[in-house]
Amino acid sequence: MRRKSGTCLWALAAALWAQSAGAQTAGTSSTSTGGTGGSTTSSGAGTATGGGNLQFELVKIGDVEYPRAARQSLNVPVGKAGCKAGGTITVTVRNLLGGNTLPYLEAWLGTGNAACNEMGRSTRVTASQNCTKLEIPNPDQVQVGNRSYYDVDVVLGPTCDSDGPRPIYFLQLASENSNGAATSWGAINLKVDTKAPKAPGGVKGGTGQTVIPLTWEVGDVADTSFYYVVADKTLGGLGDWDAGPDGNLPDGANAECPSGVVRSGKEFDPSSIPDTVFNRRLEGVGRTTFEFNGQDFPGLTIVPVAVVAQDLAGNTSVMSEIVCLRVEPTTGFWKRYQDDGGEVEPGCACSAVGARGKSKSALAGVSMLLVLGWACARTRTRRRAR
Amino acid sequence: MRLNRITVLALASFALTTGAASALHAQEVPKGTANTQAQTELDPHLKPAARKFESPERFMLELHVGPYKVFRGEPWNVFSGDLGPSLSANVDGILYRLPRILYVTAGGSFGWTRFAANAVGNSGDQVDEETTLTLLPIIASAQVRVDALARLLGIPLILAGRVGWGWSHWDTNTGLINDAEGWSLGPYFAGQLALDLDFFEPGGARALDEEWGINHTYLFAELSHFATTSKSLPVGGTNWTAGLGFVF
Repeated sequence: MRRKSGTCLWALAAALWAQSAGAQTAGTSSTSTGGTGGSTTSSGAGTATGGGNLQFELVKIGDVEYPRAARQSLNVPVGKAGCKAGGTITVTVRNLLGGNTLPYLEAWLGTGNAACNEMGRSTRVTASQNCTKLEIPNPDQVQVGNRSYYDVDVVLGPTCDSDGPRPIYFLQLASENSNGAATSWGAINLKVDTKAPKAPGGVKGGTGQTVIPLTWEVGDVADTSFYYVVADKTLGGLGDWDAGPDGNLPDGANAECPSGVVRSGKEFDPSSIPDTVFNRRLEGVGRTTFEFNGQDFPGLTIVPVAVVAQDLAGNTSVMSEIVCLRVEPTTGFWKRYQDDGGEVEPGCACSAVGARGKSKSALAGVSMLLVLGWACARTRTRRRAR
Repeated sequence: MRLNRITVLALASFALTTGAASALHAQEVPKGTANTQAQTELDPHLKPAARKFESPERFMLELHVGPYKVFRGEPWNVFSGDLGPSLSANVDGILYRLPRILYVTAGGSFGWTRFAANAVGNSGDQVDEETTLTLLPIIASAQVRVDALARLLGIPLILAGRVGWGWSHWDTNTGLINDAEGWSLGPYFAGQLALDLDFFEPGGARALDEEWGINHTYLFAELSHFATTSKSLPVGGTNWTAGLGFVF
């Protein structure tokens, strides 16, 4: 019965999937041939041929990488880094339909209620709908194994100036400069978010030799998905800072461990971290701890450290308050035990009990195991005989 | 008419038997009744209490948890504020069973305990870094377990004594540095007082046996002593644990 109901579920799912695919094709066909009421058409639209879904493998936008996702519609936040350089973002596309051939693509930006997935490739501008064609410079082909990928630069332009949703529809054409209907389409729902998260608060640094804890408070959880911990590895922690004639500390520096690089309130750019700065990007909403290894800071006894929050769009906060890690040799139980006259030598059981005891203890242990084994075997034999 | 004593007894027993039989007959459910519950309760072959089912007893499993203290009173005891805890599992094979009186078993246990304390810095003050000691005790032992109180007298208490030999692997670290590791060994003794759970829910106990083959369950408290040899790191001592046990 279970198997039957499972089969039914699979059949139902397959039917629903087929229905949804058919509805999509039907919708695009009718729109492209009949047009949408109230829309203005700027380019000729051929008869839609239906077609499949364009597949995206989004690798990175700006400096922020996203996990590979092959689906028609992706929801991707775009931050300040993704919008820089004139609002150009790079999308990596794999052409599933044409194998290794170059896909001829058009990109359309939709705002308002726009669903610019028309196979007819029409620009529509109304009070509630706006589909505008975006510029796509020549895509770069990237060969990965036997597959071809294409890095497509999409220039968002002024649309990056304000935060909000920016859906981009990619239409695949049958040939270069084709006037015909698109053969397939796919959408990436970009959400422009250039607002930086708050810097973490309550930062505390510890003391140790190989494990030095750093803790902070969760802060703006909803907007923070990653943390950077940054530490100045330069001796004295002053880095590139010049004290100047009055000898004052730079703004945001901690007097106990002054640094010109790691300073409270300073902007942090993950793409240009100097070699003198130790940094780790930590994943996990709600993460509040990190453990440094003092061996990463040779020659230092005090190290300035800050925490930076990063949101899903890749925006980074300014550096948190600066705290000082203290690196110093430590002693634990074993040293204390030896200092107090502990005799035992580390090693296997034989060496641990010493020359005098090893023969007796090993003999006793082995004998006991043999007796127990014999007794078990005998009991089992008796039960079988019954 | 003189009736001797034997005749009187015979008549009395006849009367009792007849009366009991008629009483039993009076409780019988007429044939064809739909009251199957009543039939089940009255039929001596179906009545649950009349059925005797007991699966074979072959093994015992005990799950232990409890505080564990090491190096009591020693100057090097940096873990004085740490009570472990100690977690362990013990499996015994039943070598001999004197029905309703006692078991003789043999088996072994494997456990885990970890202690941590702040390490000490240059100044002699404690720092955030930790120093740790992890113990993995392995014990081979034989046990005598007396359950006559529970089985014969209805007092749900079981007494057990265990003698064995222990090998405890120890590993001590400070921060990421592995300071030392080795084995401590020595004789092991334990005494246990257990509360037989079958006593409180006999129906459930029998269902557990019929469904899973678990003959008995019990809660226990155990006092143990691990006497490490003189050349071993003295990770032994007297400690107690409590837990849940199964006979199956």
